[in-house]
Amino acid sequence: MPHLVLEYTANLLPDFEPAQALHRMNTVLLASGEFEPDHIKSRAVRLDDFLVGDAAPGGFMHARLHLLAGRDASTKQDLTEGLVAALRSCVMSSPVHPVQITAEALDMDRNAYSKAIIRI
Amino acid sequence: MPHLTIEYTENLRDYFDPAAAVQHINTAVLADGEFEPEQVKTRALSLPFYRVGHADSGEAFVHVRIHVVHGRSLEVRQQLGKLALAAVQKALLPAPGLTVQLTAEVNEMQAETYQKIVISS
Repeated sequence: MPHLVLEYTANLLPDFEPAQALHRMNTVLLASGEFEPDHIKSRAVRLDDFLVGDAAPGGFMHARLHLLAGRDASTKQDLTEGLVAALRSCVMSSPVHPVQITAEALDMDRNAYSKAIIRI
Repeated sequence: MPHLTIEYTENLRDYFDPAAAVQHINTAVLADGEFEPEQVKTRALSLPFYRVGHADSGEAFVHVRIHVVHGRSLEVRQQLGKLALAAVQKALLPAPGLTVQLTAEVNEMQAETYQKIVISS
């Protein structure tokens, strides 16, 4: 916890760099002071099959932040706003086609969350 | 229902066996007796792009997301998460130089909006 899942449409490549996006989003999450560094587990998932409306040009990226339940709405809003800003910085200022950037925060059931850490 | 998704970071490719993991996890879930065999739908996804905190290397994770229709007790959901975690751990070999975080979450889907059809052959 937290788990961050970034989905992005394949047509944003090659200008969009998922590794850079993960780096910047983790920076935002760390700067919030809400999390320990090694607790932040992020991944980027490419969407090869997608459709925006009625075949509108352009693409989108969507960040889902899964948090253990308990944070208030304003904290979650700050986090998702920060994630959108981080993603915005990963897209050129005037892309050829529109890019929609969205983020949501989701609560995980604190009582049904399990964790183990394996170190050799 | 249930739907199970195992995500694992690609740096575990030599140490984590996703085919074994989906088998172990379904065996464990079925042994619990909560579900019929064909109801348990499980997939494993490799994550080519991932980042743990600000570590450039040395970190890996396996995360199991379980979705069950609303209505099961907290004890049952907790047990599912623990079973899942133990099952994926059985598919994991010692990974030199990597710290592996294993996590499992159990989510509830709304019974009123969950839809299902089965198309028989």
